[in-house]
Amino acid sequence: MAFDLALSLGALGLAAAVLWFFLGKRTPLPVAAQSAELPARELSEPPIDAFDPAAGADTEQARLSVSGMTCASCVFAIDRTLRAVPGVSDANVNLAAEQASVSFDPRQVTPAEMISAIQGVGYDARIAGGLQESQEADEHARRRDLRLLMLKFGVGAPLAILLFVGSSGDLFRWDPGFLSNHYLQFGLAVPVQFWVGWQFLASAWKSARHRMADMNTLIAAGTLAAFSFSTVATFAQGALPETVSGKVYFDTAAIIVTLILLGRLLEARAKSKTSDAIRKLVGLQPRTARVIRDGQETEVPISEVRVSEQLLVKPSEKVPVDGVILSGATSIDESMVTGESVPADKGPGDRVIGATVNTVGAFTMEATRIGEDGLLGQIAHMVRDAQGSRASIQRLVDVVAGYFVPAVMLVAFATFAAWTLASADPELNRSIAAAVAVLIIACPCALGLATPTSIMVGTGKGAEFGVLIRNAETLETAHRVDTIVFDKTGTLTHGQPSLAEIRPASGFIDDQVLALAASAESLSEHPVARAITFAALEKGLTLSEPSEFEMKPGQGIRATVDRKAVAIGNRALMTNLGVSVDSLLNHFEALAKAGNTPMFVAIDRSPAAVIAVADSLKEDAAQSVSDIKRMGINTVMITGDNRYAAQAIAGQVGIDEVIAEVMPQDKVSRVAELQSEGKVVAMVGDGINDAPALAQANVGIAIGAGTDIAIEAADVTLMGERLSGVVTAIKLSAATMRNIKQNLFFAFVYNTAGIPIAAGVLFPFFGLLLNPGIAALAMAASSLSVLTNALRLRGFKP
Amino acid sequence: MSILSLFKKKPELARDPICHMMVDPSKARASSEFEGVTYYFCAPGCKMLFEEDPARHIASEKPAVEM
Repeated sequence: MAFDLALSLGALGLAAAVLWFFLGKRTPLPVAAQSAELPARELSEPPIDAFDPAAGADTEQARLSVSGMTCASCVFAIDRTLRAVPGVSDANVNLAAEQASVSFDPRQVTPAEMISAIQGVGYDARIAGGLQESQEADEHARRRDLRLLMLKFGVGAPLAILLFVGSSGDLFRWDPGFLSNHYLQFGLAVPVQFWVGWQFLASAWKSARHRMADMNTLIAAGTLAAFSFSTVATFAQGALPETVSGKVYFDTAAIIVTLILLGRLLEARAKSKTSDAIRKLVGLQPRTARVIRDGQETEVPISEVRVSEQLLVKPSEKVPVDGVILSGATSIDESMVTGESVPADKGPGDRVIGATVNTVGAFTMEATRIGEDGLLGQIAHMVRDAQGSRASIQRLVDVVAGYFVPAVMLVAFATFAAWTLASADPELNRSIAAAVAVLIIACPCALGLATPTSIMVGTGKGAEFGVLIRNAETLETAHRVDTIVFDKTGTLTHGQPSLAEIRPASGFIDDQVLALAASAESLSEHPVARAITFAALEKGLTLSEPSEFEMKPGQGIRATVDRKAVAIGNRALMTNLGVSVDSLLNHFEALAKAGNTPMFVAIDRSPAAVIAVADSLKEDAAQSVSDIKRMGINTVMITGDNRYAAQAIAGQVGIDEVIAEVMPQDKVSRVAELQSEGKVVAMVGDGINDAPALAQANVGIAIGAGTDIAIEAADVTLMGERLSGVVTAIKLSAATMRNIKQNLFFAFVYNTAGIPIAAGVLFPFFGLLLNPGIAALAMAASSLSVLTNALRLRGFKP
Repeated sequence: MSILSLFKKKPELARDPICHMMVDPSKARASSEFEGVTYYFCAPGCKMLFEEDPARHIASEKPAVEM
């Protein structure tokens, strides 16, 4: 007896150690530390045709939250009030949802006016927060669940410990004798069984109705068996056969419930906060816009901007909403949406995206899409939909339980039958007691710890290698990935242009042209300018400061260097300056086809060279891709870029399949397509436009140097720029899964070994039946083995 | 609702002449006087409808607006 009591004590100590290990202070992972700032560059026009300026821009939809409605007449009153507002064509009020959806002509009325109309009849209303609001609700629910789990654990753990002390008899010197009172134990066990453990009972019932057996079934069956048996033993001792009477398993039930709840708590804490990506997206929007109303420029809150209103955007301001440029020329930094660091040149008729950053020029624009209809709103929608719709992979624990539970039920039944049939004098209650004992011992209390412990250690190990895993399930999924989709710009490439080639016209020397071009560009902050200047400095060329410098948005630059007129830019610039570039067109096109961004250089009005910059591959890109291919995983590249540029990069890096010219919001559907073909897809990306695809993929992997939004939408973040982490993540997942499987083995093996004892196999020989000591022994041994094994994962090397 | 309120006397309730909900006059969000009688409403919407044609609504046996 002293032996298994000592082990039981060990189990308790272990439980305390586990608690400390997981619930102690954790240092936050340094993800956000090195985010953003490394936008990319672009070779072609960023694909922002994503959204059509509304086909039916005359009517807009608005959703309003209305509070204070109590009955149908309120609905009627508000409905009528809204319809009476000029410009409102339709209104639909829902009492239960406390919402009104309104169709209106944005040129005649704003949501603010509708709100004041509703307030005028005595109700309160505001614009339904849509995304943000429902996200907050989700987050709120998540926090509430977590708090409830913590509370339940906080109540369950002390009760379980008291029960344990009580049933361990004289082991503890300070054990107040009254704790071993069965009636008291019953009182302590009831809240644990039916309040702390309620979710297991409820889920088990749900599964049972679908004729399914999972982990919850096992927990419910085992703990209920232990609890009911003990209750009978407490209140109706006479009903039990002598061999098992006087034994209660209240502590077994309570410890199982509490430990498994601890597992759930650990998982809930590790669950990713899905809402952050969307909150950050919404936060990107500027708060105000300059609206031109009646020829007057007024600054208004962004929510009051209506479709087809004229807006003014000044240099270095954010574009307030999606729209079309009416007048003015500028370049706009769209890197936050497209990942391309080279600002896109824009003129009248070109589309602009809300929340992107205007650089040099001022322009007027017409608003085409506002609020949730804008590209940003759409992306937020897609991220949320993708996060909600992603196929979940059945947890390994449930797979195992799916076999184990029916098997145990069968054994329990067989036990019952055997005791009834084989016994010389069959006694019904003895048969039942034996069958119940099987259920009691079969429920492994380490089961709840098997997965979380491995995952915790695996996650910590990942962090050590610069792979930050935010989502526990990722580790269970990543090793099954058979297709990896890479974003191109900023993921496979640096996302920054560097000088690729100079092709001088006859009569010009490349270094001479480069020195002049670099000098001319030396005053510019433009990524292309930096690439040229940097290349010249690297070659050791001497630069001189231009005496005159002018930026031509959408065309290029013009400068005077050493009394020479230098112009660098596109064909439009050359045409404006009266320079004929026909002789260089061949070079220009050849370089463009090879995936470069070529520009013309003119010196003193004569065509001097074509200078090309290109995004270069990351140093470890090719190596990582070939490692991945060696693991038997398909590689795919997806990009908004043109086919030439895409194929050029894919060829260099060794990727077989290229999906090019993809609109930002189509990336997600391509990933979903692959998934529908039965593939388990990992997506690697860095931009906001990758966020929905990252959320959709079975495993989303964000480049740490990418945008916050991509990081928030992903399951895994790779520190810094390097791609080798993709391989590490997959290998780590495989190692973790192996570890989980071993843990499950340990969780089950001791209890399974106890089943024959409980069934009474040893009874004829030794008179041995299940007793609380054996149950405690199994609990202690399995917990200890599981923890030790999980810690072994610390030796992982990629 | 606090437990104490269970022990309090039930307030005299008035019927909202529009939707026929029972309303506590001391807490009613809207009320209207017609021919010397004060009518209480569950919400401003009912008051609005009532005042458009009070006589008809008082006479009506059925709620003016069905759910």
